[in-house]
Amino acid sequence: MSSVLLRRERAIGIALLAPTVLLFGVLILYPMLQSIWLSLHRTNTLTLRQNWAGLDNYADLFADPAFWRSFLNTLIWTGGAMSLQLVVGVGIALLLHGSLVGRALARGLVLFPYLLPTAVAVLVWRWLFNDLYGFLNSVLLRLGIIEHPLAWLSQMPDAMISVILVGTWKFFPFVVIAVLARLQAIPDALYEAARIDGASRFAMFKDITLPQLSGVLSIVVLLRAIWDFKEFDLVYLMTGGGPGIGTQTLPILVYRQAFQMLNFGRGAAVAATMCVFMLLFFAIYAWANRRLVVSDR
Amino acid sequence: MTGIRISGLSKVFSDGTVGLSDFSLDIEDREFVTFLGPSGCGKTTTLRMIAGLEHPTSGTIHFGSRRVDQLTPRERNVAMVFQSYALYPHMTVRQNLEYPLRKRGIPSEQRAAKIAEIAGILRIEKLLGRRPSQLSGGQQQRVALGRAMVRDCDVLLLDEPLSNLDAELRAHMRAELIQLHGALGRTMVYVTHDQLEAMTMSTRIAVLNQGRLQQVATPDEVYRAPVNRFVASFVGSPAMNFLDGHLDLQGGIIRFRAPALSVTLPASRASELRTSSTGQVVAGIRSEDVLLGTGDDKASVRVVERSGHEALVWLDAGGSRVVVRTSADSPVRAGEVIPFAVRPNRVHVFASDTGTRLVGPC
Amino acid sequence: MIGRRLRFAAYNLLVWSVVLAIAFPLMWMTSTALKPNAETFAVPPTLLPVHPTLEHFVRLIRETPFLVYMANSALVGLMTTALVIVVAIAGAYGLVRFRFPGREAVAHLVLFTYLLPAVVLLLPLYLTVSAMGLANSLFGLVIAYTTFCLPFSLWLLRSFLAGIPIDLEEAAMTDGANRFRAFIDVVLPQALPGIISTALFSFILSWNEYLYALVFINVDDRKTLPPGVLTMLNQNQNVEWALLMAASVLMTVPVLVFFSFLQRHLTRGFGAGAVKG
Repeated sequence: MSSVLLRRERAIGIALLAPTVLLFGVLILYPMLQSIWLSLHRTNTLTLRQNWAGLDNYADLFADPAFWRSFLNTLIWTGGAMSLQLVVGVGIALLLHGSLVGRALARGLVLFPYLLPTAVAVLVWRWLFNDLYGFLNSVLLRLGIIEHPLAWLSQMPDAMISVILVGTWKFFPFVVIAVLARLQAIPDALYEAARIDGASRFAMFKDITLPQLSGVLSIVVLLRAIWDFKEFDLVYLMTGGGPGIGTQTLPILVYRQAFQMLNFGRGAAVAATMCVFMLLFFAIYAWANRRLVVSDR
Repeated sequence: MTGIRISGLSKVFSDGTVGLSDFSLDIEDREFVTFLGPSGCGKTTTLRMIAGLEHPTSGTIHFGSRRVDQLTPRERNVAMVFQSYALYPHMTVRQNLEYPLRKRGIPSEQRAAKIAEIAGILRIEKLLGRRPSQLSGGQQQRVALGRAMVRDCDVLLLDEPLSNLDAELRAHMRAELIQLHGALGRTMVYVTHDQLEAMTMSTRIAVLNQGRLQQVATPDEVYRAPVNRFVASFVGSPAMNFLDGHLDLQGGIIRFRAPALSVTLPASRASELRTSSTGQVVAGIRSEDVLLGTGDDKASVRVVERSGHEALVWLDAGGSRVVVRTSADSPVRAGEVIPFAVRPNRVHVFASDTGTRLVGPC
Repeated sequence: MIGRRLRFAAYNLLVWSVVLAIAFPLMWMTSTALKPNAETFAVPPTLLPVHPTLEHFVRLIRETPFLVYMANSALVGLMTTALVIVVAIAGAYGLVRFRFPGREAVAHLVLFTYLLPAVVLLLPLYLTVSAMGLANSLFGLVIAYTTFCLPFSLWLLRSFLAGIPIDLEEAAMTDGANRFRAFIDVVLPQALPGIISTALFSFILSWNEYLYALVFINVDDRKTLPPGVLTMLNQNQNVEWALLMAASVLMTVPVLVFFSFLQRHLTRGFGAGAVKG
């Protein structure tokens, strides 16, 4: 029997994966369990003693209007940012797909925002949004679109809109890359055949391009929704969750509860709730897109 | 000395497909054996199991008296030419040729000498400093061959090495391989789907289909006495003609009847019949054994292909297609109805259901 | 004839306008970093600096802990990347070339970590790292950063390694190399551009990270760039925007390095031509 060789192959495979699995277990799985544990206890921050609290933390949470406001904010932020990222991303991918002069440079410039530190993106945009000296206000004033400088970040709904705008700018290149790669894989022959058959430009987009993109778009929508939902840095650095809790999202709530109010149990409870919601979303999404298989090949 | 003995070798893949079924073969030292068959027949799987790149599900392989089926490729000491050549792209040709020698710990002067020798035989001396991506297909093929030859191992395996070359280069390389086999004196196991390569280069051919060995014999025997319909149809170009019909055995006389053809087979072969077949059979006749212009049967001419040195005439014989090879100056024209006959002593008869040969030529 | 050239020009004009609009914030950032304060706070502001100056960069380096922050960020990035790349190469190779029970489970595990918010791990990891005495230590950050750099690198390296034809390793093994040597001699050179890209990407992920760095480190001389520079924003009543823009420009350096590497190395057809399709 070939069991000797097969066993050897298995052993090597397992050995190669062992460090990864070990790190995953210690650094990801165990802390996850710890987080659930924390959410079920009340922790005295001075003594670090933990008292069983059962589901009290969750009960307090769901009774707190601030929690629901944060949840709503998160949905608005995620929905708005993701939709814009998608629309802008697909649009720009289509634009970049043609015979452009200096194509490599253009693609590099478009990709830049995605690779920047969020801190830099925020600094730059807060400077642009600055009420007194910011570029945006000065341009809009000069064009006569507004009469007084806008306080982009310190009043609602402007603050949420500003955050969504910056979030779009920062993350849309991910969509561009994914869509562009797929666009380039569509054989020219399909379009040529359609042209001979007499299809218009719009028909070609609708009947060839869109169906070919549907797979990528499903994945992109899922990933962006998940990543925008759990985004902390951008929202926090832009507005700190303000004005008030006008732009406070769930991740910011976790941070505030755990590290400013030092209420570990509640912070962990918010985090756990976030995870449950995301899993639910993922499950529903995966079921709705049954034909979509995330291939590991 | 180092023959290869394969016993009861089988391979079932992890998804359940059967790659090879109960394959047994004894390859003599210094033979050139070709595994021939269509894609998916198991020929490459068998070769890779000899090399140690696949694990058999059951069965054994011996090199001489040494059992090897549980050894790694390194431990078996075989050399292989891959269909894709698999030249190391980041190394020069010289480094590619050197690699097997370095892995065996051969000191550098001996390495240099061996490389010079092989490069001379294959006429690739000028290419030694180049990278694989700078070579043509034929050159890459020769480097792949060189890398396999550079070690003195007893078994040389070749996996469809000529399939990526154009027709002219292939013909040239066939001749070179025959010469190489003679010069090197090593056991060579060759895999191909091209029956011409198999016929011209091998000492013996092993024909496979759907994971099973069909026949193992010299090229001549495989051509003249195919053991079943599959082998008969696979070997020979143009392919053998097949006609459905009946076999009548009456009073010691065998007669084959088809809509367009009726032929009496020589009485001496009545004894070959293993079953009393008065039923459905398939007759096979090669294109060079059909005679035009004589005989009791008639057929209409569909197409005549003249290729300068011969003509191929495509006949419609009662609904069956028959290809006839004849001389280039034959006056036959498309659209004519002409008489034809077959050489009775060259007719093969196969069972309709199993394809096994019932009656063969003498 | 003319119609075609006109359309070509119009298309290029349109697309480049859009691209420049996207890149505008970065140009504005650089412009502000090079402007003397008088120009920066002029109303209306000028587009390009009239009298460009490097004074802000000089001040940044001389009068703020910027270089300290930068050194910390670089150290954390290097340590994280070194650790992650080694583990991820082994893991990716195992996933791609070997069959063993639990293989699919590991692949799904990697996918699952993409769903994980950092805020979930933040608190437990912070408590653990503090308990180990690594609060305010760069090692603590390396531990935290592994949680997202490793899955990402594994995923990237896996697709790079999967793209290398297995023929080459088989040829090497037939030529007398054992599994390990076949990997070193044949796979690694082929995978090198992919490995370097992954390493750069992992470094950038680490360089850009804010939340863990904010929470884990309170001591100023151990801070990394993002939280360090951001505190400069909130420190004074008069925000030193020019300084911040200069800091932003310098923080962008790793991204530029990444791009120049991409341009040079990924366009060279390394493996093409040695293996027939």
